[in-house]
Amino acid sequence: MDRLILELKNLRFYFFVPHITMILAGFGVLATLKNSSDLAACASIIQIFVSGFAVWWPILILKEYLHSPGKEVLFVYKSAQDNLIVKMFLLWGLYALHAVVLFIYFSTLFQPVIYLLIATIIQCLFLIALAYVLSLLLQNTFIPLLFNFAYVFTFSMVVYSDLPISIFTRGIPDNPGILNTSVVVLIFAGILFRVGYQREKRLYKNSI
Amino acid sequence: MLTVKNLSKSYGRKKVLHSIDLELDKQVYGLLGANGAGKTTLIRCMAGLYEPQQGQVLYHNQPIQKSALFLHDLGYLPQAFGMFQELTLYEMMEYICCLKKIDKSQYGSEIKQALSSVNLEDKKHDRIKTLSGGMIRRSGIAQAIIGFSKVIFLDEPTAGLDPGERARFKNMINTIKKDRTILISTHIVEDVDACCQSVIVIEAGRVLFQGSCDQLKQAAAQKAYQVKAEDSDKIYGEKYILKINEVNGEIYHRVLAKEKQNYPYEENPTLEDGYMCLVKGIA
Repeated sequence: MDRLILELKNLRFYFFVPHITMILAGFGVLATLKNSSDLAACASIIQIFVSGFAVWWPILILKEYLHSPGKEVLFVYKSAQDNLIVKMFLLWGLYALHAVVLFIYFSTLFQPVIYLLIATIIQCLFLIALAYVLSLLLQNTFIPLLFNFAYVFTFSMVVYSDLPISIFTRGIPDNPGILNTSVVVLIFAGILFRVGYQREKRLYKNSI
Repeated sequence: MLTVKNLSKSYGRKKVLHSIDLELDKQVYGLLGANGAGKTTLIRCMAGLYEPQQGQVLYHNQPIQKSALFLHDLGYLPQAFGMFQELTLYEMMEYICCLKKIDKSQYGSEIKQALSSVNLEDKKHDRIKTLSGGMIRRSGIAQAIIGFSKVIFLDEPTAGLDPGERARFKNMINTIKKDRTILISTHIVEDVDACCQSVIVIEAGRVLFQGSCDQLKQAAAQKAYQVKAEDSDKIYGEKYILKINEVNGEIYHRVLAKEKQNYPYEENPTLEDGYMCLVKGIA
């Protein structure tokens, strides 16, 4: 955990980018509700800004493991607890915590928020898993980041959100029915983490 | 203490290390070899970063992969070093302490000791990205020696250091070498001469020599000649011109020759003479 804190400290200003996007999401939702009270549009804004930036910290931390000079030092002292996959889950947890705080604010604007919160947190997990796999597969962090934003901006828009490859929910998020997609997304996230972990084990062994 | 047994490593079809056997004890070893000889690959195998296709590395008779003691005792400086550019030097050292699982209460004293060894104590609050290349190199050395490191692998530690820093590095090695196994990979022969007790010469993935510096110098016994440039052609047999230098306005060649010549040979051949004799097949 101490190492993760130092790794986050190393991000300096970039650490606060997700905070900024979450504040933007707050303003976006507020503006949408003032104009039209369109909860479906609010859900889209939240999914773009909150889910879309879930990969930010994981990608920047993976960058050190893939691109920094002297990264071998990070691998030399490896142990079972030092897996990147554990870091991905911790970062997801940290991000989910931020999302919960934001949703507490949203709960003052509209009700219910719980289903959208659960769906969003699961989307975040999926996107982190995808970024984790792609980064280790491509040995690159820029392409997964681009892919993430392209995917999120394309499929979180209402018009594309009903395509089968979209992980996003559509419509008014006021019933547990919107979590049907989330179950599938959760399963896929698990599969991606499994594949990523296999890559990670090989990363230690042969890819320096 | 540290044993390399029949170690071979390939990248695809290219075999980089061929059945390496080494015995390392508590002293400073210089791993000498040309660029591409396999030094870095050997060090990475010995540090457990690479899995060899054949053979193993043992620490106190236990394979390093299964030895928690090895990780505890290991200090490693890679060829390039400079991660976490936005952290301060002190934070970076804290990170390394976490990696090496040093007790948190000892961080302060360990970091202070390591940084003072490389003369960087006054830079501890500077960010890594603001340090010069030489300072980053020295911070790399500091992270390798921090903690309990009894086995230290330094891959090209003097690359990019200015003469003053190189001299400081050599002094530092001589200060910390007691009760430690230190392996310094380099292609700079003077560095080995200045701070290593033993030399391992590696060429094209094979160990050509392992022994003391004096033994390597003896490889050039009666084989090194300092002759005027015009006499250089008169050296017969297999030969290699090691150096061309000017002495009192005259050009001299330092020639390594396999056969005994009609010129007086150098009474005290250098480590470089011995190394080149070995590598060029003149020994």
